[in-house]
Amino acid sequence: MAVEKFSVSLDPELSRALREAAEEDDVSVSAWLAEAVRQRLRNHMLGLALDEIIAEQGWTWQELLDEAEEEAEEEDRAERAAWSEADKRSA
Amino acid sequence: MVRGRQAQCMMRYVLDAGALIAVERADRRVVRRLARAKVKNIPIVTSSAAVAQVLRDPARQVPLARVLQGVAEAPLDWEAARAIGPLLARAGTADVVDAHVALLAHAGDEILTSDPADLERLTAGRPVRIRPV
Repeated sequence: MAVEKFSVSLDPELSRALREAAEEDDVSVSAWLAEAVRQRLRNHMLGLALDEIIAEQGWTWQELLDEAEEEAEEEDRAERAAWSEADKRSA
Repeated sequence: MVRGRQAQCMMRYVLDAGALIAVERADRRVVRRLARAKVKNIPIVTSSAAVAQVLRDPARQVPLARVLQGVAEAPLDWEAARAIGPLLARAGTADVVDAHVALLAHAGDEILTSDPADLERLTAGRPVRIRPV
């Protein structure tokens, strides 16, 4: 696989954290950084794609995010209630 | 592939073919989850087999094709091919693509699916959440 080498500047604390994280994940610093960049780029591309869908549908980011947050909270409540019910049954 | 501690603590959304179809239809429930993923930096993954089921004409399915640029796609490779058969046998289901989606989900992940019953069976006993779309 062709690779391009270039230098980046990081503050020492970030650089140290990067090396530690790569070691903990048992991959090279380059591989760790490449995965982080891929994920960041995917997140960027997702945002661009959603911008178009949201505009086309006449929605807003804020209303969708509010709904998503409410939905997540509802799911958490339902999950906690299910655990609590299971605990009662097993007690 | 991200491994080790990084992989263990990162919740992801895993999309099945039904979720991809919902994206194409601009289904509000799926779009709002993806919007949440965007702002919370939640990685999204899917199976190449699910993409193969859904993406018939990328030139006409532009919104879906664009969203897929923001999704990590896992190929149905040698290892997956040999894990899927036993999983289907245990679960008593038959859909190879759903089984691959189930295999992609790690502990803590949420699977967005139009087929929650089968995905529940395919992930039984694992700490994976099933979210119907």
